[in-house]
Amino acid sequence: MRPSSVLALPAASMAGVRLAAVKAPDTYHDAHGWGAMMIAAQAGQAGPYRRLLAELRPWLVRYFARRLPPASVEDAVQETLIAIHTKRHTWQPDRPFGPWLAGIARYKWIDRLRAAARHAADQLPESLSTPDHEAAVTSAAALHGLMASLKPAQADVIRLVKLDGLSIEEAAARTGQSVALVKVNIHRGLGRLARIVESTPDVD
Amino acid sequence: MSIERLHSDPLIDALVADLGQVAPRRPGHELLLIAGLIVVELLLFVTLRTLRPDMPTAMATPAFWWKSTAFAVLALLAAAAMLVSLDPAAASQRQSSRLWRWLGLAAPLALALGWLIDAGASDRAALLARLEWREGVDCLLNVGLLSLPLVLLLGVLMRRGASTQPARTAAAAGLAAAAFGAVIFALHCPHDDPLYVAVWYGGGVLAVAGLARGVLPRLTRW
Repeated sequence: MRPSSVLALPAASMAGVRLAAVKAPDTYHDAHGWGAMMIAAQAGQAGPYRRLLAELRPWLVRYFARRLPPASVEDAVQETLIAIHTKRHTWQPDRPFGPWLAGIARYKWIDRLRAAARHAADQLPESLSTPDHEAAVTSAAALHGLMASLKPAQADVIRLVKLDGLSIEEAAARTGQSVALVKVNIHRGLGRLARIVESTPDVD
Repeated sequence: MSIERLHSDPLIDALVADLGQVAPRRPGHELLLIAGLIVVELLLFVTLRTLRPDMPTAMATPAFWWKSTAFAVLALLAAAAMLVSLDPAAASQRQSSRLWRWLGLAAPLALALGWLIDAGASDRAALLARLEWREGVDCLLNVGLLSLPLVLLLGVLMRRGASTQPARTAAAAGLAAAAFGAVIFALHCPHDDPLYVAVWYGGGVLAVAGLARGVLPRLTRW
């Protein structure tokens, strides 16, 4: 999420020179009004805070649905909301809200990838498995892209078990890897993904 | 948009119920706290352990200025990088990655300068004799001791902040604290030999940075 890149478009056109010279006011970055709500929340006002969290929740669900196996999304959303709560004083009102939010979400993304690696052998609950076409394509889209940098043996089993919802045994039969190897490859692959995301600030 | 829907999430209910007024972080205040602690420590140290007796002569040598400036620059860079990294938005900012790069360059640059000063010195005693390990270990311990109050303060600031790169932030905190400690100790310690400084001061600074890197992330998890 990079609000500045969207905003750069008008600046590049006719009036660009003037706009660039003047420091953009934060309202300029605050398209959703989230910054204003957070200022009220920091002052202890429950109403705006409730509205802010209620609006952030669906944003976070979309954010993590593109980046995590389906089984990890809800945990990630809740942990991020809690982190936003406990660290709300670290947002400085004279800074844009978007990058602050994105920084926290990204931190929790890495955290959840690590946790998913620790729970390599867990399988998707029945309700979340999407062995068919469309849902599987949109879910974890960003993760699919990153998995190109894994060994095929790791990427294959992560895709089958964590994204498509096959059981470990089915994935073993499908790929010809042993059950133990499937677990190891999921564990190592997810761990490697977490390290890749952590060490490349541009990925998101 | 119905009020009912807004009320449907128990987690959000709990967080809203827990809401209290908070003062937004002020990096300027944190900087003042750090500077204040350094001044207090400096005054205490100079009063209790005194300046080196040969201070006027020492101040005429490049080696003295090299060791003070090198650690001061390292400390300032590390402290700046550490403070900047306490904002979750920092990792995506170019200015902060530039700070980390300068920090990565500063240490080898300082060592290279020290080597140049060393090459210009006339008497070349045996390496082992130059190390004077008995005093060296004392030096190392002093650097560690002097860095303690700052490590604590920076640890508290790190806990209050929200670094998304805890390992880096912790290492920078240790590096800053120990390098400031080294600058303070340099006012007392009569050794200016670049080899001695690199080994004992450098060793002390690295040890503290390593310890901070190992311990602080655990204490500041979020």
